[in-house]
Amino acid sequence: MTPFGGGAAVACGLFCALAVWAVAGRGGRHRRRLERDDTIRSVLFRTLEGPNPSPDILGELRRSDARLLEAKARALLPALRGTDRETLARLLEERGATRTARQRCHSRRTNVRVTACQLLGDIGSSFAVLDLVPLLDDHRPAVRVAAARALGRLGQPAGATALLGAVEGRHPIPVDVAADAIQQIRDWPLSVLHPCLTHPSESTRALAVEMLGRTQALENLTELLDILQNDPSTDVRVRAIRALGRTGSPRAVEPLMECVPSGPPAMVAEAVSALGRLGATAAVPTLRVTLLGPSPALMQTAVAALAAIEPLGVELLHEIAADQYHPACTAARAELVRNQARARATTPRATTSR
Amino acid sequence: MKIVLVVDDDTDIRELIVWKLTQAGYGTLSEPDGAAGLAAAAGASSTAFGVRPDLVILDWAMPEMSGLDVCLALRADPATAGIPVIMLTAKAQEAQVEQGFAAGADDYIVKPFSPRELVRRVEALLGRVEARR
Repeated sequence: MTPFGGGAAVACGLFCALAVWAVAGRGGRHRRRLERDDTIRSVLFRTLEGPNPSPDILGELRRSDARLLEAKARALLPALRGTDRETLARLLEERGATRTARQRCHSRRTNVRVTACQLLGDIGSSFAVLDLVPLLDDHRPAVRVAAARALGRLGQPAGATALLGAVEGRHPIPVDVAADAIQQIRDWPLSVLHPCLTHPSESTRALAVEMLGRTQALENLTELLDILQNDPSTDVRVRAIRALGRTGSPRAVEPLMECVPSGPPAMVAEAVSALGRLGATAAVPTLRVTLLGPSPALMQTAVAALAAIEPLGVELLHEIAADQYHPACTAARAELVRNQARARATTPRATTSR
Repeated sequence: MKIVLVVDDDTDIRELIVWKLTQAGYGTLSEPDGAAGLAAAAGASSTAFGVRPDLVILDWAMPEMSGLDVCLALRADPATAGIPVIMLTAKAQEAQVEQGFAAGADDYIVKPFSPRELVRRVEALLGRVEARR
């Protein structure tokens, strides 16, 4: 072997040894990280066994382990409810997470503010309302939405009042986000919504109608019918139609049928859908005419509405499914199959023994 | 000892459920994805070969094979068709719940969930199965 060849062999050997050492090192680090994850997780789960987080267990942790434990608790919190959630929230609160999150609400970084909102909503400390309400007017939409959702999770009536005002102005939050959040807040008088039905702002009226619709209460029927006929905004009227469909009242059928032959497409589609939800037998001839219209989406909505109207609507669908020249034949067949699947799903299934 | 298989791609949630079930006196198998869950339900778990679960807790949203697909596959196979399935998912819409039951789930729990309630539901479902035998 020449001296040059020997050197190359040594270099090659060293390179291989280094590669093996690097791979083994990485595998070892990965294994150690998994082991540390398991240890911290078991400490966290042990804290859930008692009524209160045990300071003894947590006091033994190193600072980096305590940080990992907090991160795991934060990650678990949104997925849990009940006693375990309360224990985790208490644990985070005791470790100063609420105080830190409240400070981070004023951070310059958008994602830090968003995360702070989420954590405050998850922990559920009532003091957090004071920090979250100003963020409803944040210049970043993501922060506004996070603050709105957090206020919903906190469930404080003061949050509902702030959300109601946050759908208008320079930095509005979407009506549906506000509605979802307000819906989670209990002990809040819905009567506050009634003056909002005549508010000059379209978004405020839309939110008020949306909330009244979600209550599904019959006492709002007259107001909703009035909005359907007189409100200048299509969005508000569409929400009124949806709300009327949710009331389940036969009084809503006639006004909804009047929306179907003419009107903005969004209103027609919502009215067709609402008639199906009401199970309005009287609407079957109107829906039959809708099936022949030029819009495939509206035809699909009408087919779904007919499927919900027993027995006349379903009979009509069978008739259409048998007529291969009808434009809605394929949609009717598909809907009937879905109807059968739904019927099977609602029939209690016996668990068979093995 | 009754064996419960937990299939969820979120390690923390999966391990929490396993912890709670173990504390309640159940044996557990756990898998991080649908395909491995399906194999474990058929008795081919990577950690306990030949052990078949008495009940499966399934997350819906998992990469590659969803919990819904796993549930349909379990029901399609005569060997696993009788295993009770609890869907544990963040999908809370009415249509999604219907879809879950249509796929063959025996119970449907929406996240956020109470781990203690989940254990009670496991007990109730296994008790009903036992009573039918």
